[in-house]
Amino acid sequence: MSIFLIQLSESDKKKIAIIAIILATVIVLIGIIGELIKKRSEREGEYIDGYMYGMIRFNLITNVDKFKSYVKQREERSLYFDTRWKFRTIIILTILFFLYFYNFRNFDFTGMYNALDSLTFELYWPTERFFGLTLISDWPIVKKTPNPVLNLDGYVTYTYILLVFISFVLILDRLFIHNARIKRAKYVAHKALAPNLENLNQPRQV
Amino acid sequence: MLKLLTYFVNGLIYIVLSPYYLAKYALHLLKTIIVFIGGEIITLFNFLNGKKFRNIDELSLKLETCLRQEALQKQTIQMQTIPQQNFTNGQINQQMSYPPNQFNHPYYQQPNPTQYPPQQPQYPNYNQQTNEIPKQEDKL
Repeated sequence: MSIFLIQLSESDKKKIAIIAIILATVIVLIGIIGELIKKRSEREGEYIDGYMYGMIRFNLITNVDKFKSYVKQREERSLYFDTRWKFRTIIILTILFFLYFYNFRNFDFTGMYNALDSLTFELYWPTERFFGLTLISDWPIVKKTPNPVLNLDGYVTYTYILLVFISFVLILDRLFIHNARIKRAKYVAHKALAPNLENLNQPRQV
Repeated sequence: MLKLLTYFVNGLIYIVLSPYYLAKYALHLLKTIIVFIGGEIITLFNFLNGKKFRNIDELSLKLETCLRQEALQKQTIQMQTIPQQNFTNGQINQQMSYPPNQFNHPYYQQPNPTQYPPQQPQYPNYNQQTNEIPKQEDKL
């Protein structure tokens, strides 16, 4: 390995160091984002404590399986009530979108493709041969910048894509909350209700 | 530095596990779509039967009843609990009911039946106009 490093030129060493630093930064960023997601998951999961505390206190739920199934049932119902209008929005928008192209464009979606294509970047990445490998050697050259199509097809397409995207993100966020609560229920059910031999002589906290 | 290292290790773990998380999330998304379709069918049936599909279940109703009963019990206990007050001056140790008036006032002194003409009840520092209760420190 050391022989391999000695053979490298100074600029190659610099390149390797920069790549390593960028990679490490990206991994650390992913770690931080993951921790934040984990914390949010824990915070969202605590919501079930609000109603399950009363259920256990008044002995309405007395075993682990019932606890889990009740939380699952209740959370699924809540999931439906919280996401139904987002799903309905997507369905209604899709129907309207297709109706527009059916009525006014005779199912010709060229306008939509042009509108979407006009939003993309086109980059040229300069490459170099590096120990037999073709690697990116410099910042990219921008060949095409986004240039939105401002006609009726463009407006319809952009509005549809934007609203569907927002609805979808909101659904994913609610799904994340749902998963956090189910996870918390699985974790807490055993702690709250499973018989524990260590606490056999102690009075049960109800 | 140690924290950064922890983040780095966690980042590596998340990168390795990301396909698993993505697959799990995709499955849950599929489940959400199924839940939505099921919910819409139930809503439709309820609508046809003239009912409304609500986010309520039997156990949560029971819990609500229990909480209401408990609150009522607490309120009743609070109403029944009468403060016991010890007074050194007027030898009065009586239960004060609510609302206070001139006859259940702790400083009220019973008229002496042997005395003629009967002694008027004494209300030290008692303002009959405003029905105000004197503070114990004032009396002392």
